[in-house]
Amino acid sequence: MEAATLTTRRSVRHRIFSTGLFSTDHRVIARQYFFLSLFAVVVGVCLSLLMRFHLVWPQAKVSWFEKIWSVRAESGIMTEELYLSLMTLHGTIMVFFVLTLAPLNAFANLVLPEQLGQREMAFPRLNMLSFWVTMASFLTLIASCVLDEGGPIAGWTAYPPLSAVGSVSGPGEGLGQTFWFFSIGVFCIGSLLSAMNIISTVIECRRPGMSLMQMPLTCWNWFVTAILSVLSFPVLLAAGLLILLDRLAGTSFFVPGDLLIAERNVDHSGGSPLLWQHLFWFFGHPEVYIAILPGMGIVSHIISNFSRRPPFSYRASVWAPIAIAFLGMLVWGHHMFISGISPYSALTFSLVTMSIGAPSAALTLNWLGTAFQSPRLELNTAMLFCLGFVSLFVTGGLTGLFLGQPEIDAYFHDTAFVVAHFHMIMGMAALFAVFAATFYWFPLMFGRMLGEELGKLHFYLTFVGAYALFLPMHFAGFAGNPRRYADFTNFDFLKPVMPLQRWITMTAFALGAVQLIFIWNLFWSMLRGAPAPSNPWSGATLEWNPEGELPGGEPYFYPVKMDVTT
Amino acid sequence: MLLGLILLAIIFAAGFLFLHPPVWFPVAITSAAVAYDRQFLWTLWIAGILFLAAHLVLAWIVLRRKDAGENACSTGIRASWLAAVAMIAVEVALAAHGTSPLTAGAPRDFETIEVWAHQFAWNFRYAGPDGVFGRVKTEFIADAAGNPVGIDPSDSRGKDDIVASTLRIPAGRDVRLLLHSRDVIHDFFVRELRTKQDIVPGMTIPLDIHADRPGQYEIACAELCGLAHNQMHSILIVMPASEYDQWKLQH
Amino acid sequence: MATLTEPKVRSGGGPPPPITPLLPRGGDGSGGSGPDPSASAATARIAVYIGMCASTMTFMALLSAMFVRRGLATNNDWHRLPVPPLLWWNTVALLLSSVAVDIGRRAFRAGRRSEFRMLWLTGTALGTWFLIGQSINWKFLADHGFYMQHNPASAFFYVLTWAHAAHVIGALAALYYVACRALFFPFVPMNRNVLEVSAIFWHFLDVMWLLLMAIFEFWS
Repeated sequence: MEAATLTTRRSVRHRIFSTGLFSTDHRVIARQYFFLSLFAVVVGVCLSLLMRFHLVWPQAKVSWFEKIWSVRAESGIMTEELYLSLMTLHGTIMVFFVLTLAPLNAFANLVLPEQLGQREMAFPRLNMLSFWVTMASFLTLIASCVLDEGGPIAGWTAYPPLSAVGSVSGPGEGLGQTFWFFSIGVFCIGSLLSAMNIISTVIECRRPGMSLMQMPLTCWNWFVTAILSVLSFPVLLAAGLLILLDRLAGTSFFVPGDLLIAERNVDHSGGSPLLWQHLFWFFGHPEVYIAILPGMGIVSHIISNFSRRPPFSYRASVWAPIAIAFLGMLVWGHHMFISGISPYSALTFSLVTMSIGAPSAALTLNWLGTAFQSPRLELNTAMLFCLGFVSLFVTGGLTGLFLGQPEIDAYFHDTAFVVAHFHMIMGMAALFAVFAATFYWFPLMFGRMLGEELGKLHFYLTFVGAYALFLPMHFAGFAGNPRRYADFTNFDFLKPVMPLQRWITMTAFALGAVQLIFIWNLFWSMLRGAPAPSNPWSGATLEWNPEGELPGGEPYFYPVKMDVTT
Repeated sequence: MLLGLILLAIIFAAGFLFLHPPVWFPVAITSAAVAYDRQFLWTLWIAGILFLAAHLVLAWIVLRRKDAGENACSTGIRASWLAAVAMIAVEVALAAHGTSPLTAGAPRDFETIEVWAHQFAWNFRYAGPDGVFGRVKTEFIADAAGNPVGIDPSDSRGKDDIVASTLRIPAGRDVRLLLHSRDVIHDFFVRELRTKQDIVPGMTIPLDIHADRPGQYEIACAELCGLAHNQMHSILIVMPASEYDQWKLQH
Repeated sequence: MATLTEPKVRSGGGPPPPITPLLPRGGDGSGGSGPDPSASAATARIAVYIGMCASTMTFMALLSAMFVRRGLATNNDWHRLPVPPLLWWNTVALLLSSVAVDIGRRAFRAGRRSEFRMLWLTGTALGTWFLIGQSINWKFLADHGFYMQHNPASAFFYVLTWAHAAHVIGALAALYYVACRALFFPFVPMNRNVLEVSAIFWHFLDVMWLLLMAIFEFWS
């Protein structure tokens, strides 16, 4: 089989605007999800830079603040409500539209069918519908922030009563918060449709002869993630329905009685704010596993590819994510250790939370073991990002050891320590997996290679930047620096932390600027990158070998031993 | 290899940061806080060792030169199990070590002080010489008129209640704080106590503390409660017990 | 060209099964994994099972919220609702509808087209009656002063029955679609999936309704 280039063999598929907006082709839909989450991450990063700017220069006058946010930035100074609404939007966009979409929807749609030996997902039209439902959710979210009264300020967790009683509890809590809940509800539906597709494809549409234990690890992780989605998003939908009724129909599911907010009596009674927290975190904790599990599969796969050997233990790499997902459904209470739950519940949640470390350790051992036993390690950009993922995942995961103990969490809850923990593991590690996947599958998306030199430069600067930014943030947590504060000027104990906060802001701006290298690389390579050969990475999975045979005529099945000399 | 060097640099940077931290925990003022610090250090050491091990292995992997040669991997699944079991043993031991006994029981003779949080200020109520709190009702709340807690004027027991905007507690005595909120969820957080507690409207949540060290410590709100969440500032004043009793009599 | 060998990790004896070559790509996918209709039916069935899972999780969330709220009922504000007149008749109608749809489905499989048509239309009509009956029930409760506000018991009743009715509307639309196809167009094997899937989901909604009724009756 001659080495046909991807551009000649698949060029029809890889024109950027190839088959129309409402195409049911899984690769077009994958690219749509990819670009939506790319746009979302750029917006999210800009929001975070605005936030970081305000935290260290709260009184700074910036003229274009006033132009864009006339009500909330009079005379160019960012107000607290603007800060909190930027923060809410940042969290919502990053968790939902970047970390749920990019690792799962974008890349699963791209390669899942082909890795299973199929040409399409199980339900192509449903696939197209799920993208457009997600897009509608995104537009509703943006709409919530451009309304006259401004976007919601209750954070992505939207705890009632703050988020449930309307504009009396704060600016942006009226129509803005209602739109926000609608957006999230619609997102749940989009995710469910997409998860349905993935599960159906994995169960029913593998090529004949491929058993479940012969699937690539990426497919396993997407499968497990999709199951988690089906089990957790409906709960968020139910919670969103109840809180919308509280807001619009005068019910009191989450709002207790006898409240006096802003000197006005609120006409609710008998509800429980803790009920929202239980429902939300029952979804919320699996959500963070939905964000990281696809990344783990991608990393397992790519490390295996560039170590030129099968995974250290395929079975462990299958069962560990299953264990993580299963246990992940049982630990939601660790977000509520100081909420007012009983210490017995707290102990139970704590023990189960700590036990998630076990499959995580097994997986880390697998990644390290695969690379360790490699006869010839190929350290290209995709592999570098995977190794960076391992490092960031270990660091971020280990800070979970602190937060999983209720007494230790009692100090760290709602401080910068928690922010550092989840940014390390979701913001950086999961994003590294997305970078790795982008470099690895760019040839399939666009028929060209993503530039390696710029890629490596981007990797090194981002990896150093990730540690430079988030490792010191843990120390702000040690000092008890609370989170979700619009500025730090009201407390004496925060004054000594300001130099650290300034360092974090500077590093954030630098890290944000470094991402421009990636953006440049991406768009330049899309248009002018080197044409990709049909199997640029000598990969042994079916997306690179669609005829179902490996070079040399050997029948394909996974996991395979890969040839060292290619 | 550059990545290997960066990993080693990260290990050193982390070590350096912990040896010369830019900021650190404040002083611990209760015995529970001292125990907290001890457990924190245990956790830090274990996390640090695991961090070091993983990163050294990773650095070794990228820095070493290797020759082509295949290694069998039938040990894969067994090693994975071993890693999982070892990790869970370490974690459960750590968690168990840090858990205070659930059957500790309430302190017998404690001073009760009520904490009232609202958007965006703190108020504290002391029982006064009669030792009893007066009845409160939301309809009587009037911040401007000096009744932020809503004491019922018709209740005689409430006439001697002291309402202040700072929290004074006697050192060396058990204190029970009863946390109330009149609007949204707040959180009572004092760093030196090494604990915090969400204040949920509709619930009265007790928080038991026993401070040993007199001084002034800042109280912050640690649950997003709206616009001026960052402005809910107050002071915890730990006074010698005799001074506290005197203060209560004088008000 | 390099050669590759089978991995040693495969347990169990025997050579791997022969790998069939991939089918050539023909047009964009139109649902299903290939021309084999039974494969497509299996896929459709998986999809509807997943839908049932998701739906069950939603109802479980709402029900658990209800149980929690009931446990919190301070001031004894959990008032039993008066039983709307059509509640039990509606339940019977939904049950009969499910039975009709199922027998109709079997009739279709056996090729008895006219029997299928009659049964399916009966099932669809009974389903429509269920929806109408629900609206009458809601109006009855509203007329007797049981609204959403200030009454958690009625609020949950409304929420759960509305959620159920929303699912019923969707499933009924599918039943109507099958009915129209049955009446006016020849039924192609492809469309059998819609029939099977809508029947399965309809039964699921019936079971869910029975569960809700049991909970309303015995636990609130």
